[in-house]
Amino acid sequence: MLIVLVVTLAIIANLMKDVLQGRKDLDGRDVEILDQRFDWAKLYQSPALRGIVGVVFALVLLYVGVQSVMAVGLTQGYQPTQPIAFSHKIHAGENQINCAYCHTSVYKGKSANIPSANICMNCHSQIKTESPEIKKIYRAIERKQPIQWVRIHNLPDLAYFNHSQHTQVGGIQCQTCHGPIQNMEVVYQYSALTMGWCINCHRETPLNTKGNAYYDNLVKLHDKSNNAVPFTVSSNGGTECAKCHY
Amino acid sequence: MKYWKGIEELDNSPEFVKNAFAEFPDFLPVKEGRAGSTDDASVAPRRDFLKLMGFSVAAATLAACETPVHKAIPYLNKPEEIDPTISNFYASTYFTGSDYNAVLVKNRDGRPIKLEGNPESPVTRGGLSARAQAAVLNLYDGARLREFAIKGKPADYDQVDQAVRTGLAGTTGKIALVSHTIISPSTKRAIAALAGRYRNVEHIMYDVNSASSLIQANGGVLPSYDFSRANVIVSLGADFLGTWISPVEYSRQYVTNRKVSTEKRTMSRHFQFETALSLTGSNADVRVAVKPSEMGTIALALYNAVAGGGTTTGLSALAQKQVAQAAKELQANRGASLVVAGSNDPAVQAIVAATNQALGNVGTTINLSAPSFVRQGDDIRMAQFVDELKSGAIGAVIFYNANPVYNHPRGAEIEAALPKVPLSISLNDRLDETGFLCQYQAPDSHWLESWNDYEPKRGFLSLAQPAITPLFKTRQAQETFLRWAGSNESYYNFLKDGWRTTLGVNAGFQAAWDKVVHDGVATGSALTTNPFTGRAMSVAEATSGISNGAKTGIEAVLYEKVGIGQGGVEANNPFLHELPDPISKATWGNYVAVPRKMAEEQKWSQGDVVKVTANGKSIELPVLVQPGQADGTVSIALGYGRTRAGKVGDAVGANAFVLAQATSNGVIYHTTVTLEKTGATNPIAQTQTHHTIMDRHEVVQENTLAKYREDPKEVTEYELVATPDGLEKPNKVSLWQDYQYNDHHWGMAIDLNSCIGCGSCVIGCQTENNIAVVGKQQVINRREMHWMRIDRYYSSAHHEDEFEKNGKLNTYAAMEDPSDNPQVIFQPMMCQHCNHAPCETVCPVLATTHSSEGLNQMTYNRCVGTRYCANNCPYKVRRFNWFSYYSNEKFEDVNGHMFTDLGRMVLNPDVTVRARGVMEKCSLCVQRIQLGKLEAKKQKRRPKDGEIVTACAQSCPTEAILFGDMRDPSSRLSQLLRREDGERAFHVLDSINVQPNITYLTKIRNGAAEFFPAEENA
Repeated sequence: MLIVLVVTLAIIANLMKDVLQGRKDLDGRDVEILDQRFDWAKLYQSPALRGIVGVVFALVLLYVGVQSVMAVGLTQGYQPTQPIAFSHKIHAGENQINCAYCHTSVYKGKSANIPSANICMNCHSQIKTESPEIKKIYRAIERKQPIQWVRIHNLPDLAYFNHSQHTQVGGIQCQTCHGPIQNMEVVYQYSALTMGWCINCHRETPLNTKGNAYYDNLVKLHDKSNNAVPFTVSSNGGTECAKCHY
Repeated sequence: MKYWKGIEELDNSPEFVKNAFAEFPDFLPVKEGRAGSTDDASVAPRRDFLKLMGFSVAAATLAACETPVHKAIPYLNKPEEIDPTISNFYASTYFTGSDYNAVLVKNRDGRPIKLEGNPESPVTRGGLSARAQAAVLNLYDGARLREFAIKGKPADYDQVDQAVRTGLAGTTGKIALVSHTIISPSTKRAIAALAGRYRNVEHIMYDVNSASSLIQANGGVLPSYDFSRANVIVSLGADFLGTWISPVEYSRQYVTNRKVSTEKRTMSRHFQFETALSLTGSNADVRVAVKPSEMGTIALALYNAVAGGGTTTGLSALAQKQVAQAAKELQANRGASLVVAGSNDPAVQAIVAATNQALGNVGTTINLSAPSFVRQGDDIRMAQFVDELKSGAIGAVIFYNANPVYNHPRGAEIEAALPKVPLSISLNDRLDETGFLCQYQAPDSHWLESWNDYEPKRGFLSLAQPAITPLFKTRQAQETFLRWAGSNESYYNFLKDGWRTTLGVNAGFQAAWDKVVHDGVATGSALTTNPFTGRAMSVAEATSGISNGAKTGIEAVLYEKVGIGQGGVEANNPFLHELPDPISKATWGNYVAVPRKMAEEQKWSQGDVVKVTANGKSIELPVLVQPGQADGTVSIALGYGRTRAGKVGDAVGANAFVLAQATSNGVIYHTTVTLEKTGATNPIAQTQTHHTIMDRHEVVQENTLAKYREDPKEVTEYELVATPDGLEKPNKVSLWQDYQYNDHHWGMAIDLNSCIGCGSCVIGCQTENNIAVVGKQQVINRREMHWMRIDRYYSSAHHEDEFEKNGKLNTYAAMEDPSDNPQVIFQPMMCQHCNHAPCETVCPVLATTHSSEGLNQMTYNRCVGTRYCANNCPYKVRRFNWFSYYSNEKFEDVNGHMFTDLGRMVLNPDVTVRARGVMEKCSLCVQRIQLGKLEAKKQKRRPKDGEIVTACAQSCPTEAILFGDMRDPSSRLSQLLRREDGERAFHVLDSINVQPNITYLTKIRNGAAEFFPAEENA
């Protein structure tokens, strides 16, 4: 953008110069202005400029460096090719199948559970039996070899994450973390899944306490001491180390 | 349509055509050097080569930063009850030939990862021994046989079955089936089916630590005992809390009558006469150290005193006095007392049986009509078997979970005779000392892979169900028996059919059966008592059979350790090797425990290797100076010195079974020995090397029952600090801001009166929290990783009045040395989760912080390993990871459960495996707390009291540990703390005011100081 601007300006200046030089009705002073030479070499040799450029260069390098180091192991946007071209868009989007129909333990357990082939068979024993992709499932069942999906969301082992805490207790929508999954032909990692991302949400999200007797007294105590502040996950200890790391 | 990659391809220039088939240039533009080259320009100089190299290394490094591809592999057909990451619990039973435990198997993603006590069981009542806790690791033991074999060559089930059936049918001699005690009715039926198929089959059961004489003395049955109904207990060398018959069951009973409260200010009184300081002896109110040869005389003296018989001579004055005292108290508690003896001498057991009879204990504390079945071994039959084996009368021998070559005193004879037997078969799970000599291997599956039933006591049934499909190509022994008996029925159906009769319901059997499978336990009986060879001796016979007085010479007693036990399948279990012995705190191997007097006389110091010789056989072991060891005796643990147990257990310690005597009356576990210093040294890896508490009442507190009766408020000493308002409790003064706990405030109370020091919690913690095993050398370097330890302190009233005379320093120095017959106190010690934690303030990176629920949190990923926290911890409960125990090949053998894919199956997926260079410590099982809270939140309620328990509290056989929420005023913990406040509740090192969340309750002893044989040391 900047380059385009500079180049455009340079071209315009040159054209102007040519046009002006073609005109003979300019007086001496104008010609002087027109013909003046800017001493590029002097500028190039000035220590101030060199210093500024050097510092800017070093800063840019540092910034890029830090960014790339921070991005090590960060897989936001990761969209691997899966062994079977399963489309969430068709299943979750167009056909409106509830997420928990396939991801059976999403409201119960730590893991949401990648569906086993027998769940696919609930429908696909009848539907689209001729599709080459569906045939891969049949083949897996025949050969008794489970389908090896490529895992997209990888939390490090040192972090404990439990789906049911967020879905069942917190009432968080799947899309909050997984993005517009119902529109995804091929699933990709929507969220950063960094600790900063987790903590940020824990700080901002008010607790889903309504109708849950676990929280009744806590809400009362919280409201009594600091009514103005919303009762967030973090104000209930949700950003303490041992809530996720043990 | 045509696609092209570039203009060149479109043009199809000759250059392009030439290159299209050569993806890589023919040569690398790099040459060795300039020599002989005429065209300098075409030569890439070495510097360019290095630049190229540098670039490629950097590029490769960067490329490697990319995250590896992980696979997510779901089931093909998901079982209905299994959800990944959700644990299921299945009721099952642990019995490997010594102690019975009803267990719950925690199954995670289809793998058993932990065993817990089954509270439904009326026998073990939710308790679990250390050995049973560690048993889950045996399932993943790499030393297990992986398939059937014939003469060392792998074979199919069918090949082995065929060959064995032909062999058994064709044999002319006797067919002997040798096993440890079998308490499974269905297994016995399967064996009966086998015996029915062939001629002359005999089933010989023997026990490694035999109770043959006890059974004999009680008319062929092993009585069941009720320690909870006994007000006076006299034990003659029976370690009933540690290893004798059914320790978990007895511990619970024993402690029922030992727990005190303001409402119940009574306790049972416990006399222990023994040689080695055992777990039971260390809990006794009165302990008398005697020689094993004196035991008969003591039994007789006690009988005479109780039954009013003649006088007994040959006892020391001290023993005489204590026997008289015990007899007096026994007589005062007729029908509510109990005398037990650990000896395998039929005469001693006969006298003890007569004593109980005279006291009217049969029918109250002793139940002969509901006998225990956990010991059925018959020493005399076993001796006959060895003779027959040597004479060639045995045509075929089958070993089922029996390893007599290693663990029978006549093992060497069996070893020599076994290769001559025409047909020898081993069903043992590994190629052990006995199995190695057999022609056929038909390895039994692990009990966690098998169906089975058990009857530990008449009327009490228990079931085992498979928690995982067999990991290897093994087959459970019962099914093997059925195959060899010519039946094709599965053992499951066979077992279920048997239960139709047992449960006695026909209609609705399925429902009743499902309930049994669910509960794991049931009532009903299916086992009959075995006919027993020996006959009970009369008192007169027994009296004449008891030699008067102690023998001369050094006597050795062979005992079983609480951890390693009899050295069976446990021998290859690193958890049990590293479990510190409750008394000596020694790990990894056995030793010769000697009294201090002997060590001084012989100029032995700890770790000096001595040669122990008895009956022409000798072993070499290091010396350990053991307070409480009887004068003129030594004791050596059985169960070590395996040669074919596996990588972990082989060559750890020495085999003491060779020193046991196989007499015509049975196996005797004590003998006269000679000891000789070899000059070598072998350090003993002890986890606690200081022994006494040196008057430091702030650490551990105890008092007498007499004092407690008088005034419960007087039994605990509280440190007070001077403030402007007078003396105050230390927590009234503080520079700190206190935490506010809105939600929960987790805490724990440990009753020192109930803790018997068995070590079950240590192993429970280890399996729950993926704690590494470090091996002998690292224990010597004081780098053991146990998050929980049980501190054992010796104490005695000695030197207490010498402060005036000798000065403080000298008196404390004298106190440091434990007396010869000390009192023992156990104190479970783990992170105290201080509210004003000193570790938290010194961490430079905030890796250890305080939670809003009172937990002291340790964040491994933040820790940089400065170890300031450990330095600042007053309780020394923090453990530093010195090595990558999961990947450093030095630890491959001992820490196999973190190394191999097989072993890693046992790890708890909810707990991080810690890396090198970080600090770790007790988390108060935060993963269990979080899970319990989550379940409550999901059900929209507060957690119920008792729903969340730590691993240590869950399986404590004596319920000494109580975990709960101190924020909840109605929790059992809050109630207990309110009740005991100012009475027995105290914090360790209260005066430093770190305000721990762990509270201890003062130990109460039922004995005034004068009962302790102090004069012995004078």
